[in-house]
Amino acid sequence: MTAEVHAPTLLRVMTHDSFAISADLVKQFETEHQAKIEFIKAGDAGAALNKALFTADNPLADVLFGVDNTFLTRALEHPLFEPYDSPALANIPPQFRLDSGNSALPVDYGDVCINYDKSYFQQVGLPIPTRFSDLTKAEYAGLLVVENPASSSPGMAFLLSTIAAYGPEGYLDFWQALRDNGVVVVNDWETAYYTNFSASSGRGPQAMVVSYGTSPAAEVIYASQPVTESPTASVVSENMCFRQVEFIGILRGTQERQLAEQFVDFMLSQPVQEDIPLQMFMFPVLSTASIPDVFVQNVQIPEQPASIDSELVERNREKWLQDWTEVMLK
Amino acid sequence: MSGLSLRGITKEYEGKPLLRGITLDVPPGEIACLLGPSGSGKSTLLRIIAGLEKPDAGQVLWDEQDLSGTPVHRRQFGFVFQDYALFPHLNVGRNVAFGLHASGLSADEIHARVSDSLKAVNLPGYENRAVQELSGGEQQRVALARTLVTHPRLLLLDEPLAALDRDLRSQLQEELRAMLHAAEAPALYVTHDQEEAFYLADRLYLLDQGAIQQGGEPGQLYLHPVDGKTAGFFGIKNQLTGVLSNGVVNTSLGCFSGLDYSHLTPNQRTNGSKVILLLRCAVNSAATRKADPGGIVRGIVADCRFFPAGFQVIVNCSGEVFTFFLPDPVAIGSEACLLVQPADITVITAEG
Amino acid sequence: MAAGLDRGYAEVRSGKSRNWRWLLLCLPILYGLIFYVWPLFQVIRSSGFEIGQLAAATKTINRTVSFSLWQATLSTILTLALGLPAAYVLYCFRFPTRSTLRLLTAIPFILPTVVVAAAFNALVGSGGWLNQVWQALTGNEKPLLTLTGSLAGILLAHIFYNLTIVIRMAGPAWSSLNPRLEAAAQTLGASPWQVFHSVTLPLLRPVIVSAALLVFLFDFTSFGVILLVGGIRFSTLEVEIYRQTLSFYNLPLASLLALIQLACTLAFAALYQYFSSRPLPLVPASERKAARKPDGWQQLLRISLLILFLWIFFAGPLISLTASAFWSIGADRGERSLVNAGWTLAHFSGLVKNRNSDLFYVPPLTALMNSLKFAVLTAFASVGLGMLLVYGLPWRGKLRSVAVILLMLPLGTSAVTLGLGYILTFNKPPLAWGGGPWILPLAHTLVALPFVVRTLMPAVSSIPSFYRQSAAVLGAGSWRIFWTVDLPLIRRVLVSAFIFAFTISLGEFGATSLLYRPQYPTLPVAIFRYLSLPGAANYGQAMAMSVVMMLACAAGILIIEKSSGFLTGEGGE
Repeated sequence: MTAEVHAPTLLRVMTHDSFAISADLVKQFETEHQAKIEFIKAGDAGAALNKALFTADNPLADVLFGVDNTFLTRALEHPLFEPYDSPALANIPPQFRLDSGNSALPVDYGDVCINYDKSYFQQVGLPIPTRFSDLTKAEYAGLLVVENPASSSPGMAFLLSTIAAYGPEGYLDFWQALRDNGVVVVNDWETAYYTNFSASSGRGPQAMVVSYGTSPAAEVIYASQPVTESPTASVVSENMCFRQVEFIGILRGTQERQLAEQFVDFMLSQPVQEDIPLQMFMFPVLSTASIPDVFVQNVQIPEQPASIDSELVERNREKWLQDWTEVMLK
Repeated sequence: MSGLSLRGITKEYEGKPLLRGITLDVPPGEIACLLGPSGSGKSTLLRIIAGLEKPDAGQVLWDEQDLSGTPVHRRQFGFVFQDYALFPHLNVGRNVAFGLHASGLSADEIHARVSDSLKAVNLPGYENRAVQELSGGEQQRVALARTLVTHPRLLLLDEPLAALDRDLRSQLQEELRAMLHAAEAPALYVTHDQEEAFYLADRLYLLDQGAIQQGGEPGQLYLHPVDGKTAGFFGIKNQLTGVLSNGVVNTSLGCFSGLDYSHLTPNQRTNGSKVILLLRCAVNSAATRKADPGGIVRGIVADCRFFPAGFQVIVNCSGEVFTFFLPDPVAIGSEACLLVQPADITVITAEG
Repeated sequence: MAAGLDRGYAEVRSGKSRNWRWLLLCLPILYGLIFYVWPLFQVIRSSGFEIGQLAAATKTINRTVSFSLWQATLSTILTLALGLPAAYVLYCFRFPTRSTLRLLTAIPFILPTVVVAAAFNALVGSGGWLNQVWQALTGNEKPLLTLTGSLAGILLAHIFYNLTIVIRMAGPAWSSLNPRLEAAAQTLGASPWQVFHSVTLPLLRPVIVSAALLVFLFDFTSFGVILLVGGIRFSTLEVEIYRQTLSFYNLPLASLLALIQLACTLAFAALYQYFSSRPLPLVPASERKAARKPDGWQQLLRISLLILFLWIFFAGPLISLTASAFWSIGADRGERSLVNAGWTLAHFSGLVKNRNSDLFYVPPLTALMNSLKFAVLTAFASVGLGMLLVYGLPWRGKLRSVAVILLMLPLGTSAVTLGLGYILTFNKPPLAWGGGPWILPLAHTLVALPFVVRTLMPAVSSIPSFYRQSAAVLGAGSWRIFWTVDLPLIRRVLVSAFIFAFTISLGEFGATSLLYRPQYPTLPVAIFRYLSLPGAANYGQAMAMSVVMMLACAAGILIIEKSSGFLTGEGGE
């Protein structure tokens, strides 16, 4: 019996820039399925989606990973994906399966929360804010830095959580109050975290920053000298974090349907799901996947994260952004 | 009014001495010429006088005043460059008017002066032309006009005709001399061309090896060059080396006596000094039997060539070669006699 | 003998030379069509753009356009004000540390904005060295300087970035001017200021306007600086296009803005043409005034002050940046003091470790080699195309003016728009790209080409015709004339152009981020990866990678400058 050797099939996977995975796992997949994966990094979640939409007639890739729940409607409406009822879906809790048609399958989730500088709060003796309205109080003046929702994904998530809390009618007043209380707005996460935040290497002036729930764990893992506990923590009070779920989908028009399906299954398999926390700093959707200790110790998971109906977001996104910009720039 | 004085100007260039203690007086009202081979530092000296470069030592004086502290733009010395250095972004009129802006004249007066200046250099009506359109000769004239219009108290010219071809050069030489005299400006003119120097200069200085070898009236210099090298530089061809002892010069062609040694220094007159005889005599193809108080040196005509100035005849006298210009051609190979009178011979030192 | 400066080949115009010209222009024209016109056309066509949407967006358009113009004008004026004296000092004088300082001013150009922002932050940020010292000295809690989020910050960052353009364009030209022109002016009674004002400046005007235009375009289309340093209050056309395309997905508006930006670019380029077309009176090396020592104590003082200022302005942030790469923040940071901090090499050694066998880990050597490869390819491609253009275009006339104006368009085209255009164009046969890396140098060449041409053109058109004619009379054919006459005369300028293209490619991030594939990571990409996650180690490694990038750039520039002498047999500068 002779084994057939043919050239590996090419599978193109488009992802957002934050995508990361262990090389070994990818190699395993490639060997198992006699494939070669080409990753195309396409910007942040929104940008990647928009690029995929722009080239939908002649897709750049076979699979798109990274559409999140705020963009779900846009992707589904187009429609961008081909449905796939993966067997792995059985082990994924229903709260993540936001697309009943299974065109977009959930892969991981995370929270966008306010991170705060523990030692600053200790030093000054300030209590941790527990509600949005706390942020407008005088003792927290000038301590918060947020990102521009028009150019930053966590910024958008934070804006949406305020809209979830105050409703589309009331959120602007809240932001006005925030503005009066000296909130600093910058354009992207890197600036907010590394230039403005006091607990990062930038040692900036703001002790609170809109970042990810898993950022404290990253501070431990990527500390330049070993630390026992993280210098930061998240504010996980009710409704103050925004839950993000990331999806994967097979792009309509792909020539490699079978391999794409196998890749989706691969992303939802236990080894990859367990690889996700340390690579992408998100949590796996697979209920049977284990979480690394450093996450368990340092990440606070909100019990009641905020969320908004994806369709509502899709209809109003531009309007909300315009209104918000008006309030913050006037 | 004592004019320009240089005292001990010294300058090094790349570690080697270029100018060694130049001391020089240029009285006003004359065209002084600085003649020197390439690399002799004459351009550098001119630039030092203008203030464009600083000497390592020495002073530049004008009317007894030290100019070391005076910057270039206050010295009121005009300068004409070899490549004319006309401002390409200005037309002819504006180029010429350039130096007049600070003088406080009204626009009309400036215009009038520019116009006169251009007329004086034979370029009337050229005000609106672009400098790029001019020929070399025209550009040089504009450069001159530009300088003259400011009535400088001294005019410095750095080989201004070197970039022109020969016919233009001789034509411009004449015009230049006329223009300089008409402008009544004292001028210091630098060149490596000895013909030009002799033509233009009222006073001539020879610059070589970093020092002034000789200075004075051109005629005097030509008659009595200070040494053999200088004579060669002046283009004096008929030289005969010899040794002076006991009042007699022994040469390969014979002994010469009764010569005038007054222009030699005592040092140069000692027995055994090497001297050079400059033969400025007539040549005759027919040997005459007339007894002359002087002597006859015989030779063979080696070459005879036509020149507009006369037939150049080269005579070979026992190995020594002499050159003469004659009105009529002479057969090659015929006998020639040099009629040598003591009065026709100048004795100069061979040293130096 | 005619010594006209701008006759060039005009006198030797024959049918043969005209055909030649078109042959030379073939390649550049083809390149322009494939890599610029067609992709752009594709994007705009498929954006569903309608004139009717103009009305709704007028307010945004007005605000964005006027701010873009305003900050660009201000930035350009300031850059020139510092850049011209700097060019003079760096190219016409000789002083210790001259070459290092020249190099230093060129480095910001290649650094991604994120890194420059971090560098400034490390120096003058609220937790930076300056404020640390200030607070230690005065016990004052409030930081001395807050530059981010302000117009001043934007202007400073622009100057920091673009000063090298003015220096590298005006400097060589200044030092190559015929020194006798200034000498003549002096002898005619012009004081040093008058000489500068009525002779030097008018002579340098073509190159100054050229540099100003390039700086202006860069500032006008500024993206990273506005985004990072300016904060949310400021938005230029480029930023808006980015937002509309990638965040709002409002492609019609994005296309409209892109077209407006293009139109503005055309207008500026045309304005430039109107204002200057004169060649420079350059002279060969043997006739140039050698770089000299300062003359007199006043000049020495002024020059020393400027040199000191330049050192502080450039070395300050860069040294802070380098220091951050060697600095480890202690375990109890977050307190406002330096506790358990120390110098460390861990950030550099961490660069070569793939911490969690991440697939997308970028080994620094790979990123370095890729960046350098792209940069060298870009430099050769743009200088090659540039020379073809410069020698192929007629020396004068409408065609030349139009071509030169059109050449500036890539600089005014949004990287996002073009990137999308590339994706559309090269996605399908016959121009299928296949994801190979060669698209990057070709895209970079688009940005570098205007620089190269603008730098070369004044120099080449100033070569006095009689140099070429005398060579021709001696029997040299066109190629030999080019090699023995033109090249040595424009050598300095050629080197400058090469370095420009090299550094532009090294620092190009806009188009690169849209076109690169993870298989060919470059240094800026690697830096960004580290900065996208929290953690002191990540920050430190991003800084360490930036240091690697700075060194690579410096080394590249040095090598180019040294080998240029080798190339044409003359000594280096």
